[in-house]
Amino acid sequence: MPSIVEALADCLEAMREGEELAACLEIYPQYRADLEPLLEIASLIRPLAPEVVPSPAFREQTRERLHRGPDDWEEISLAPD
Amino acid sequence: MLKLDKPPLTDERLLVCRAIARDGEAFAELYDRSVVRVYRHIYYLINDVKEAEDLTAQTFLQAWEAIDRFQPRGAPFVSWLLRIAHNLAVSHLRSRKGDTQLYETMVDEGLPRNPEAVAERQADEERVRQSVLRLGDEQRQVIILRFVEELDYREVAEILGKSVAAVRVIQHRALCALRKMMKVEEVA
Repeated sequence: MPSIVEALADCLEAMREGEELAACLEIYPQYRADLEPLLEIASLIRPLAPEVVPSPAFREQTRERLHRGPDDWEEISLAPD
Repeated sequence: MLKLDKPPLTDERLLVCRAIARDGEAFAELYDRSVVRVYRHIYYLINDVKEAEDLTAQTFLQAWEAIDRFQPRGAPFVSWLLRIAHNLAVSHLRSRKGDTQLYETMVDEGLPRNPEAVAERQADEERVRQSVLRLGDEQRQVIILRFVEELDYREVAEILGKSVAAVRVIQHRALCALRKMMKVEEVA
Protein backbone atom coordinates (compact mmCIF):
# COMPACT_ATOMS: atom_id res chain seq x y z
CA MET A 1 0.00 0.00 0.00
CA PRO A 2 1.40 3.44 -0.87
CA SER A 3 2.21 5.82 1.95
CA ILE A 4 0.21 9.01 2.37
CA VAL A 5 3.19 10.92 0.94
CA GLU A 6 2.95 8.88 -2.26
CA ALA A 7 -0.85 9.07 -2.32
CA LEU A 8 -0.69 12.85 -2.01
CA ALA A 9 1.89 13.08 -4.79
CA ASP A 10 -0.28 10.89 -7.05
CA CYS A 11 -3.41 12.92 -6.35
CA LEU A 12 -1.63 16.21 -6.99
CA GLU A 13 -0.34 14.89 -10.32
CA ALA A 14 -3.82 13.72 -11.26
CA MET A 15 -5.30 17.11 -10.36
CA ARG A 16 -2.64 18.87 -12.42
CA GLU A 17 -3.74 16.75 -15.35
CA GLY A 18 -7.32 17.95 -14.88
CA GLU A 19 -8.80 15.36 -12.54
CA GLU A 20 -11.40 16.63 -10.07
CA LEU A 21 -10.50 16.60 -6.39
CA ALA A 22 -13.39 14.24 -5.56
CA ALA A 23 -12.23 11.74 -8.17
CA CYS A 24 -8.69 11.78 -6.77
CA LEU A 25 -9.97 11.01 -3.30
CA GLU A 26 -11.75 7.94 -4.64
CA ILE A 27 -8.37 6.42 -5.55
CA TYR A 28 -7.21 6.38 -1.93
CA PRO A 29 -10.30 6.01 0.27
CA GLN A 30 -8.13 4.98 3.24
CA TYR A 31 -6.47 8.41 3.24
CA ARG A 32 -9.51 10.46 2.29
CA ALA A 33 -9.79 12.37 5.59
CA ASP A 34 -6.13 13.34 5.56
CA LEU A 35 -5.80 14.02 1.85
CA GLU A 36 -8.85 16.19 1.31
CA PRO A 37 -7.73 19.28 3.29
CA LEU A 38 -4.23 19.06 1.83
CA LEU A 39 -5.54 18.90 -1.73
CA GLU A 40 -7.89 21.80 -1.04
CA ILE A 41 -5.00 23.93 0.17
CA ALA A 42 -2.89 22.94 -2.82
CA SER A 43 -5.72 23.99 -5.12
CA LEU A 44 -5.59 27.48 -3.58
CA ILE A 45 -1.99 28.04 -4.68
CA ARG A 46 -2.37 29.47 -8.14
CA PRO A 47 0.53 29.29 -10.58
CA LEU A 48 2.23 32.44 -11.75
CA ALA A 49 1.67 33.31 -15.39
CA PRO A 50 4.68 32.42 -17.59
CA GLU A 51 5.02 36.01 -18.79
CA VAL A 52 6.02 37.14 -15.29
CA VAL A 53 9.71 37.65 -15.97
CA PRO A 54 12.06 40.55 -15.30
CA SER A 55 12.13 43.09 -18.11
CA PRO A 56 15.04 42.87 -20.57
CA ALA A 57 16.07 46.41 -19.57
CA PHE A 58 16.27 45.47 -15.90
CA ARG A 59 18.17 42.27 -16.64
CA GLU A 60 20.68 44.08 -18.79
CA GLN A 61 21.12 46.98 -16.35
CA THR A 62 21.67 44.64 -13.40
CA ARG A 63 24.08 42.50 -15.39
CA GLU A 64 26.03 45.62 -16.35
CA ARG A 65 26.30 46.56 -12.70
CA LEU A 66 27.55 43.10 -11.82
CA HIS A 67 30.13 43.36 -14.53
CA ARG A 68 31.31 46.77 -13.36
CA GLY A 69 31.57 45.63 -9.76
CA PRO A 70 29.55 46.38 -6.67
CA ASP A 71 30.78 49.95 -6.07
CA ASP A 72 27.71 51.67 -7.47
CA TRP A 73 25.16 49.24 -6.04
CA GLU A 74 24.22 51.66 -3.32
CA GLU A 75 22.15 53.45 -5.96
CA ILE A 76 19.61 50.67 -5.78
CA SER A 77 16.83 51.64 -3.46
CA LEU A 78 13.34 50.56 -2.70
CA ALA A 79 12.07 54.12 -2.64
CA PRO A 80 8.79 54.51 -4.52
CA ASP A 81 8.85 56.34 -7.85
CA MET B 1 53.38 35.10 -26.26
CA LEU B 2 51.24 32.19 -25.12
CA LYS B 3 47.80 33.33 -24.12
CA LEU B 4 46.03 31.23 -21.51
CA ASP B 5 42.27 31.57 -21.88
CA LYS B 6 39.93 30.92 -19.00
CA PRO B 7 38.12 27.57 -19.25
CA PRO B 8 34.52 27.74 -20.50
CA LEU B 9 32.04 28.86 -17.84
CA THR B 10 29.77 25.87 -17.90
CA ASP B 11 29.88 23.88 -14.68
CA GLU B 12 28.03 25.55 -11.83
CA ARG B 13 30.50 24.43 -9.18
CA LEU B 14 33.33 25.92 -11.19
CA LEU B 15 31.40 29.15 -11.64
CA VAL B 16 30.72 29.35 -7.91
CA CYS B 17 34.36 28.73 -7.03
CA ARG B 18 35.43 31.46 -9.44
CA ALA B 19 32.79 33.84 -8.09
CA ILE B 20 34.03 33.17 -4.54
CA ALA B 21 37.44 34.20 -5.85
CA ARG B 22 35.77 37.52 -6.89
CA ASP B 23 35.47 36.71 -10.59
CA GLY B 24 32.71 39.10 -11.71
CA GLU B 25 32.28 37.37 -15.04
CA ALA B 26 31.54 34.06 -13.32
CA PHE B 27 29.08 35.74 -11.00
CA ALA B 28 27.37 37.43 -13.96
CA GLU B 29 26.97 34.00 -15.56
CA LEU B 30 25.38 32.68 -12.36
CA TYR B 31 23.13 35.73 -12.43
CA ASP B 32 22.04 34.98 -16.00
CA ARG B 33 21.19 31.43 -15.03
CA SER B 34 19.11 32.30 -11.98
CA VAL B 35 17.69 35.80 -12.33
CA VAL B 36 14.33 34.70 -13.75
CA ARG B 37 13.78 32.13 -11.01
CA VAL B 38 14.75 34.61 -8.28
CA TYR B 39 12.55 37.34 -9.76
CA ARG B 40 9.49 35.09 -10.06
CA HIS B 41 9.96 33.82 -6.51
CA ILE B 42 10.05 37.40 -5.20
CA TYR B 43 7.19 38.49 -7.43
CA TYR B 44 4.96 35.77 -5.96
CA LEU B 45 5.70 37.07 -2.47
CA ILE B 46 5.58 40.81 -3.29
CA ASN B 47 3.20 41.13 -6.24
CA ASP B 48 4.72 44.35 -7.59
CA VAL B 49 6.96 44.62 -10.64
CA LYS B 50 9.16 47.52 -9.53
CA GLU B 51 9.64 46.21 -6.02
CA ALA B 52 10.33 42.71 -7.32
CA GLU B 53 13.02 44.12 -9.61
CA ASP B 54 14.60 46.13 -6.80
CA LEU B 55 14.58 43.14 -4.46
CA THR B 56 15.98 40.91 -7.18
CA ALA B 57 18.89 43.30 -7.66
CA GLN B 58 19.35 43.48 -3.88
CA THR B 59 19.40 39.68 -3.73
CA PHE B 60 22.32 39.52 -6.16
CA LEU B 61 24.12 42.34 -4.39
CA GLN B 62 23.87 40.52 -1.06
CA ALA B 63 24.90 37.27 -2.71
CA TRP B 64 27.95 38.94 -4.25
CA GLU B 65 28.91 40.49 -0.93
CA ALA B 66 28.44 37.24 1.01
CA ILE B 67 29.53 34.71 -1.58
CA ASP B 68 32.58 33.66 0.41
CA ARG B 69 30.14 32.25 2.98
CA PHE B 70 28.44 30.03 0.40
CA GLN B 71 29.35 26.35 0.72
CA PRO B 72 29.75 24.90 -2.81
CA ARG B 73 29.18 21.40 -1.47
CA GLY B 74 25.93 22.33 0.28
CA ALA B 75 22.64 23.29 -1.33
CA PRO B 76 22.68 24.39 -4.98
CA PHE B 77 23.47 28.05 -5.62
CA VAL B 78 19.95 29.00 -6.68
CA SER B 79 18.55 27.56 -3.46
CA TRP B 80 20.90 29.85 -1.52
CA LEU B 81 19.78 32.80 -3.65
CA LEU B 82 16.13 32.00 -3.00
CA ARG B 83 16.82 32.05 0.73
CA ILE B 84 18.36 35.53 0.47
CA ALA B 85 15.47 36.63 -1.75
CA HIS B 86 12.91 35.41 0.74
CA ASN B 87 14.55 37.20 3.67
CA LEU B 88 14.63 40.44 1.71
CA ALA B 89 11.02 40.03 0.61
CA VAL B 90 9.80 39.36 4.14
CA SER B 91 11.68 42.40 5.52
CA HIS B 92 10.22 44.49 2.74
CA LEU B 93 6.67 43.27 3.38
CA ARG B 94 7.03 44.14 7.06
CA SER B 95 7.99 47.69 6.14
CA ARG B 96 5.22 48.03 3.59
CA LYS B 97 2.14 49.81 4.86
CA GLY B 98 -0.59 48.28 2.72
CA ASP B 99 -0.20 45.00 0.90
CA THR B 100 -1.84 45.14 -2.49
CA GLN B 101 -3.67 41.98 -3.29
CA LEU B 102 -4.17 42.16 -7.03
CA TYR B 103 -3.42 38.91 -8.79
CA GLU B 104 -3.77 39.81 -12.43
CA THR B 105 -0.66 37.84 -13.29
CA MET B 106 -1.80 34.59 -11.75
CA VAL B 107 -3.06 31.93 -14.10
CA ASP B 108 -6.86 31.87 -14.18
CA GLU B 109 -7.89 28.23 -13.95
CA GLY B 110 -11.61 28.43 -14.39
CA LEU B 111 -12.40 30.18 -11.15
CA PRO B 112 -16.03 30.61 -10.12
CA ARG B 113 -17.63 33.67 -11.74
CA ASN B 114 -20.08 34.44 -8.95
CA PRO B 115 -18.70 37.68 -7.42
CA GLU B 116 -19.08 36.44 -3.84
CA ALA B 117 -17.46 33.12 -4.64
CA VAL B 118 -14.63 34.91 -6.47
CA ALA B 119 -14.05 37.22 -3.49
CA GLU B 120 -14.10 34.29 -1.07
CA ARG B 121 -11.67 32.29 -3.15
CA GLN B 122 -9.33 35.26 -3.55
CA ALA B 123 -9.38 35.76 0.22
CA ASP B 124 -8.52 32.07 0.71
CA GLU B 125 -5.73 32.31 -1.87
CA GLU B 126 -4.33 35.35 -0.08
CA ARG B 127 -4.43 33.55 3.28
CA VAL B 128 -2.54 30.64 1.77
CA ARG B 129 0.03 33.02 0.25
CA GLN B 130 0.55 34.68 3.63
CA SER B 131 0.99 31.25 5.19
CA VAL B 132 3.51 30.23 2.51
CA LEU B 133 5.58 33.24 3.59
CA ARG B 134 5.84 31.74 7.07
CA LEU B 135 7.05 28.29 6.01
CA GLY B 136 10.67 27.32 6.54
CA ASP B 137 13.08 27.68 3.62
CA GLU B 138 12.94 24.13 2.38
CA GLN B 139 9.17 23.76 2.57
CA ARG B 140 8.51 27.19 1.04
CA GLN B 141 10.87 26.54 -1.85
CA VAL B 142 9.20 23.22 -2.62
CA ILE B 143 5.72 24.76 -2.50
CA ILE B 144 6.64 27.66 -4.77
CA LEU B 145 8.57 25.52 -7.24
CA ARG B 146 5.84 22.85 -7.37
CA PHE B 147 2.68 24.96 -7.36
CA VAL B 148 3.62 28.48 -8.41
CA GLU B 149 6.29 27.51 -10.95
CA GLU B 150 4.51 24.20 -11.77
CA LEU B 151 7.73 22.21 -11.99
CA ASP B 152 7.66 18.43 -11.78
CA TYR B 153 9.27 16.51 -8.92
CA ARG B 154 12.43 15.74 -10.85
CA GLU B 155 13.01 19.42 -11.71
CA VAL B 156 12.39 20.53 -8.12
CA ALA B 157 14.72 17.81 -6.85
CA GLU B 158 17.44 18.99 -9.22
CA ILE B 159 17.11 22.65 -8.21
CA LEU B 160 17.16 21.89 -4.50
CA GLY B 161 19.77 19.15 -4.65
CA LYS B 162 17.39 16.56 -3.15
CA SER B 163 15.97 13.22 -4.23
CA VAL B 164 12.47 13.04 -5.72
CA ALA B 165 11.37 11.04 -2.66
CA ALA B 166 12.68 13.77 -0.35
CA VAL B 167 10.83 16.46 -2.33
CA ARG B 168 7.59 14.50 -1.96
CA VAL B 169 8.09 14.20 1.79
CA ILE B 170 8.82 17.95 2.07
CA GLN B 171 5.76 18.69 -0.03
CA HIS B 172 3.57 16.63 2.33
CA ARG B 173 5.02 18.31 5.41
CA ALA B 174 4.63 21.76 3.85
CA LEU B 175 0.95 21.22 3.01
CA CYS B 176 0.36 19.85 6.53
CA ALA B 177 2.06 22.96 7.96
CA LEU B 178 -0.09 25.23 5.78
CA ARG B 179 -3.21 23.39 6.90
CA LYS B 180 -2.22 23.84 10.54
CA MET B 181 -1.60 27.58 10.06
CA MET B 182 -4.92 28.04 8.29
CA LYS B 183 -6.77 26.13 11.02
CA VAL B 184 -5.20 28.31 13.70
CA GLU B 185 -6.28 31.41 11.77
CA GLU B 186 -9.84 30.09 11.48
CA VAL B 187 -10.02 29.57 15.25
CA ALA B 188 -8.52 32.98 16.06
